[in-house]
Amino acid sequence: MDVAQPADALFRLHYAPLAGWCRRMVGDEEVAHDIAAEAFVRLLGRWTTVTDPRAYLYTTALNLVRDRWRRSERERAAIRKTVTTMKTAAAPAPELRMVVEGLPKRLQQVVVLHYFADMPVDAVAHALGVAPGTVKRDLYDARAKLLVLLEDK
Amino acid sequence: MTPDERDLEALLRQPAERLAPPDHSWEKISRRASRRKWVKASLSVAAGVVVVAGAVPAMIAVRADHNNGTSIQSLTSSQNALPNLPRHTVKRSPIPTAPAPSSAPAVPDDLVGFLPASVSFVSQQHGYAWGNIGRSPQGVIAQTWDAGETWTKLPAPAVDNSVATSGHDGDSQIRYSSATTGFVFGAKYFVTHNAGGSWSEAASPGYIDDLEATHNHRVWALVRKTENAPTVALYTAAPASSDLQAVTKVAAMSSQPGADSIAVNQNQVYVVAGDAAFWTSRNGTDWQEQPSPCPASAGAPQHVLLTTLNRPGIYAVCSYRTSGGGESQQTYLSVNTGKTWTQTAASPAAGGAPQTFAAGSENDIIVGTSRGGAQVTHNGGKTWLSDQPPGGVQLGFVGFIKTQTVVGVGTSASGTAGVFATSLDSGRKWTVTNFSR
Repeated sequence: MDVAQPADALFRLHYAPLAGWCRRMVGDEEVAHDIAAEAFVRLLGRWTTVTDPRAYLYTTALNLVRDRWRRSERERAAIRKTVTTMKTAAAPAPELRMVVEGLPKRLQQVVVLHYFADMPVDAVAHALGVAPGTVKRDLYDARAKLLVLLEDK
Repeated sequence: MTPDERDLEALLRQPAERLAPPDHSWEKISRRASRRKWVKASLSVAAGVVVVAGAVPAMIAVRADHNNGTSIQSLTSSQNALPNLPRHTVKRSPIPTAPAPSSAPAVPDDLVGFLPASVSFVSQQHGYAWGNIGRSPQGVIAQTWDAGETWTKLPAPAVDNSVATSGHDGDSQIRYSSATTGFVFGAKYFVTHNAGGSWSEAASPGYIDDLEATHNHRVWALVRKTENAPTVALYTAAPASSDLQAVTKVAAMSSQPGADSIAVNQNQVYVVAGDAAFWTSRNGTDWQEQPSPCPASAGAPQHVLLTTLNRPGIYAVCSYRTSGGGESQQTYLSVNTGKTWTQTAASPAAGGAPQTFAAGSENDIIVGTSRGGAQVTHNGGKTWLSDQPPGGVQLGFVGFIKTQTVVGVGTSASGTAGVFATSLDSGRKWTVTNFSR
């Protein structure tokens, strides 16, 4: 089975924006490439069943970004035990991390797909298998929560 | 919006700077994917497996009528999914959300001159176009992942798709019944189970006039024994299958080629051919004979097209030959799944043959014709606007990809270049992009 040609087209279309978004999220170009590439590898693995590749790519990348953050936190914690001055790795924009981590997972996904993957409400609804009204309500709830978080910050 | 809300909106909408892939990234990704055993297993097993629920495509079907060198389209299904549109591939102004391509050219070299004859979308972004390049009769498939903003060439089955060549294989069309299972049909019948990665020829009971899929991916086809046979019969294939079996509960129907059409809406199927019509609400477990939307008193229609609404509504357009060589069109609405039909208050202007027919709502209907622009109504057929979009563009193939978003393809005013047109307000304002380099 030859999926190379359509997948290649998808790669050319979505890799750069996806990797750019990953860089914003993790603050490291090399890690961003790793995450974007891994998202594409996993997409190829589910090529025949993924119906919205863009949504799949960003959702997968989001999970990988979260994994990366958790790993970085563990590493930082380990370093803190042994040294007094910690040389930290490049960090993401704090507001962006807050956007992702400050929200329940369901709202995170909607925000990431709508704002970062640049998908319209209808497309997000289709990708998640929910009604457009649900997506609109989730976006409203997400913005309300984020406003509170911003004010607290 | 408060200042804080504006700040938040700006933060969320702040675009990320693109990060171009390092050299040979794609090759590395491909190799990594190939090395993973689970990837291989998934790919091989998934061939032929129906796509997950919720991804079911609804489609606008475009069909070519090679008898008069024009094309016909039947629009199926609900408005929340996508079209099969025709004729050309381009770089155009973006429809809402598609990201700009990172390195894809506006029109790839291998698609310059591409003249699509039919298109099938499986999501609002992802679609396939079938046609020719220039005068070459060999069928070509192009794919878009961004609602037609950019296209790339895919493998295509060996079909002589020329309308000008004697002995050609007919004006074949493309249709997807799921994100992975698709068909190229006409005189020959090909199927893909891997989203167009490869195609294989399947046994066909004859010349396939029209083919649609219901939401459970069951395929329905109107088939003639030969291209110009006087009767047409209904066939069906199980989900993910290409094996067309005759629907014995629906008798063969007399109609001339072009005067037959299938419309689907979820698991409902409505079939019309000549003066016969049938309807099923349960995916073919039972069938009811219905009156044809085209009144017998008007004579035999040249063309019949159907389109369904997200309710028991069906629109039909019936066209009849005029003394001037054109065709007059009459539009009809049924609000009871075809039991009765009411002619709309006004009809589209006479002119070319209707090629495509689509409804975004009961009020917003569009007819693409073989001459001039499309004809549009925003009041359920009380009044019609001709030659849309203005400026001489010939827009034969049109379809709704959302309730108010219309896409269409055709040719420029000069007739020398293909165009892609889109409207975000049901055909009131258009953005037209020329396909030529």
